[in-house]
Amino acid sequence: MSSFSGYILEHKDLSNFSSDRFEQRVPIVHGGPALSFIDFDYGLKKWSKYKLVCFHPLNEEEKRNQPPPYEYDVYIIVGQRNILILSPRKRISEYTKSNILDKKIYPNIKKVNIRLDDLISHCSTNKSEFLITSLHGRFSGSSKNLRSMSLYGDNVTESSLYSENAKYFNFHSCGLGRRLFDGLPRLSANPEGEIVRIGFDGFLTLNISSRKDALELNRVIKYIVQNEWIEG
Amino acid sequence: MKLVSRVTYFVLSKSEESHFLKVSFLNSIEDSVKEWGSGTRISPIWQIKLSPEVIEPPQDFHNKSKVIFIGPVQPARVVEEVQNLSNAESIWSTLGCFNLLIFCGKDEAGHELASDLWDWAVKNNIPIECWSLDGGIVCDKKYQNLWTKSRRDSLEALSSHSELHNHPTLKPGFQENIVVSATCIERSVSVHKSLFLEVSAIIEANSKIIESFIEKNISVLEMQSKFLTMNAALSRFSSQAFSGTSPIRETECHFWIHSLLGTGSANLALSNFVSFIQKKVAEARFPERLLALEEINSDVPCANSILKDKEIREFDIISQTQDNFDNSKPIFPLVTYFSGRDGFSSYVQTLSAPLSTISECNSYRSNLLTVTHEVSHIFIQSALGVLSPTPGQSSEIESALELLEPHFQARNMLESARQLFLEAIVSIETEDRKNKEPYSINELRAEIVDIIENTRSEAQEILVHTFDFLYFHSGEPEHYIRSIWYSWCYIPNIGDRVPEYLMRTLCAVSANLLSTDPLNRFDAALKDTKRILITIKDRIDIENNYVLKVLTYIEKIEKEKALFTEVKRKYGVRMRLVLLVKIFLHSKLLDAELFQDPRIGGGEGYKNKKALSYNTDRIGNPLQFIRTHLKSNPTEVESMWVLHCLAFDLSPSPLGAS
Repeated sequence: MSSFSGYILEHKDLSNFSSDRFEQRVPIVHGGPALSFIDFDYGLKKWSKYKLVCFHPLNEEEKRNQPPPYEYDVYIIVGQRNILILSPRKRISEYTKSNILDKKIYPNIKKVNIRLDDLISHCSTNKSEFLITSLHGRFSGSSKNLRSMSLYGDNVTESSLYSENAKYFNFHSCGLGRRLFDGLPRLSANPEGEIVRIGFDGFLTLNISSRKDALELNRVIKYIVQNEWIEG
Repeated sequence: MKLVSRVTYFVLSKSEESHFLKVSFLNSIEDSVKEWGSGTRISPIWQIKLSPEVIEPPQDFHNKSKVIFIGPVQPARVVEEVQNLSNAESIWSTLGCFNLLIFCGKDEAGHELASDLWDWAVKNNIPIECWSLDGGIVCDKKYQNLWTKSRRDSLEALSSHSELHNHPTLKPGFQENIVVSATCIERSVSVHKSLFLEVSAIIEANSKIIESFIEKNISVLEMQSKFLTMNAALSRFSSQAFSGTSPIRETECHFWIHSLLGTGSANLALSNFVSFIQKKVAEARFPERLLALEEINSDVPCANSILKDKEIREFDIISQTQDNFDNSKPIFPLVTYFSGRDGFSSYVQTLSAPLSTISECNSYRSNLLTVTHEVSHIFIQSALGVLSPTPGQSSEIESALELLEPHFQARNMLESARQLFLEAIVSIETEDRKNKEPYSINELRAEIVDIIENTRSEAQEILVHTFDFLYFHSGEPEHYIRSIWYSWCYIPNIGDRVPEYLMRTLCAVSANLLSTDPLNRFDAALKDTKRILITIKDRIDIENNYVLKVLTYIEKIEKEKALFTEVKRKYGVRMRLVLLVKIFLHSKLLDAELFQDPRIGGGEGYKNKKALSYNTDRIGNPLQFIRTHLKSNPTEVESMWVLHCLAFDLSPSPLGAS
């Protein structure tokens, strides 16, 4: 199982984004980073795997006295309306975006904001394909007696704690799990666990061990895009 | 991309020999004065560095072929969308509507960049003006304004009130209003869509007020007063916000240090901020909800129990009047402007902030959050329209006298709120009587109008301070006391009002002490206020400031028993006003709504918004944002950066269109 962190991104024109559009085989400046296409992964044509080579430690290599250059796997998935960038660490995804993609592609590919309140509220209905498995929020009312709240569970928005208090919180990230299987609910609590955790700023964190996990992420992103919870 | 702290002055003047227009960079105002001419104009600008390695370019014009003015726009957006911006000779940030100045070189790359910038601005419907330069002399100018379909229906409706064109008293004010409105509409339409929509809504609101006058709901004097304040506000707003817009040469700002490019992006920031707050609170519709309290007639507290009952303090007007209030009336926007003379002040439809706010909007002494006090005034005034009887309206006075009768039991929550307010002001007046004897009903009948008039100002201030403390300062005494006392310290000649200001402070912060023993309340409020004041006294760089004065006064109260008793009694009767806000105007739901923020992460504030660095990350709540950037002595450039974030990064846009 591999853990990934990254972002949902957007660009005004995604019609001709082939894998070579992102590549930077030769660094722009001496000692700068390079990004090379390796292959498609998880048997999915849109899951392009790249190798990032850079002289800047992004995974605490300096603590292990590991000398440069450093190599990292980076996935870039171009959908119909959005792009995903994923890598083993958030820093690697951010570095790739700002040091390679932003210097190569104009207008720049941008991070998006997610209408998290709308997503959470829709996921709390029975007709929703997905449900909420975790919630993190800051108290938005006056008084500092309480600052933040984190909730975890099989179906967090079903709890009375959530329904009575949600209006007093600014939720900044949530986890999504599957509610409906082939359009039908399950009798027992969701056995599949969390598919992905999503932040208000389009930040994603998830574990992928198989093609099935990658497909589930695709479905979650499609669900968010189709419901227009992505703000450009 | 980061702003450089050092200010430079961009000057446009007429060359004496040739009468051509000449631009220059100067390092100080003193330098500009040496060659000042009658038409010389100036604006402060700050350089933006795209990366830390960039070496500051020479500030002459040998290699510059063009200067491009673009805006209003978030500078980071231009960097993200225009390739090769790094080929610019230099990039500068300004406070004008044209908030970005880009100098392009004489080489091919410079010409190409100028052309790309022009195409990008036109494609994205962002105003742009381009001057061709030859050694600093302006040879050619071209510009492209915003394309928005002008809509003059609101203006035509305003000017069609024929009764006023011939009205002997109102004619001058009315005609001035039409002309200043027309100027605002036409200037805003070419610059910024949101401001244009805001101006249209303001004009529409004015037209409705005039209709109200024609229907005889407003007196001639009231109408005249409204024209005076509205015309002054619109005039300042227009001359500040839309000066320095295309054609730049033809629009001069009368805030002279910004005479070349105006203060448009600062005005946009102020409008955004005020509109954000106003809409959140106005949509709560306190006057309408207070009226709806008439329908709630169970569990109505009596005059005594309301002072003691802890449960009643959990009453939430928003959840209690969820479905039965009138929300059909439109919410009128406020005209906002900067004014050295008016400082922070508000009328029903206008709000001003001091000019100093532009250069220190995030300083403790003159920060934009002080606007919340002015906005609170507007809402408290509208609430008092429901709670306080109007002198001259005999039926309202009669009802008030009934509510003040001994042992009168309120029949519904509206009567209870009115009763609490009346008891408060009568108690305040009683404290000022020589014999401190309660008023008899006959005395009240004779003096109630005077009591209302005498207490109006102070009662309103205490209500406003409590409202401001609970909502906009999140009930945090440290934040609140520091904020108000810092700002008072920089207002001249109010030293004799220190006792009055202490009383307002003690009352407001005591909203946090309502569940404690009333006998200890004053002592606790005084002690804790003193503690907080001590923490800020050394940070205020004015000798003999009001914080030192109030601390001396507090020590006097603590030492002199008679004074202690007197202040405590006065405080005690004013607590009814604090209770009034807590029970009938404070709602946890609105509290949460006001600080609702879809863009805030897990920590405090906005981690990605680092001072002086531009990016396109959005801000969900300006109250949160300003608060995280408050400091003692910010530089002008830090203040401009905060204003730019408020002008360009708020999302959703409080003005309604991006």
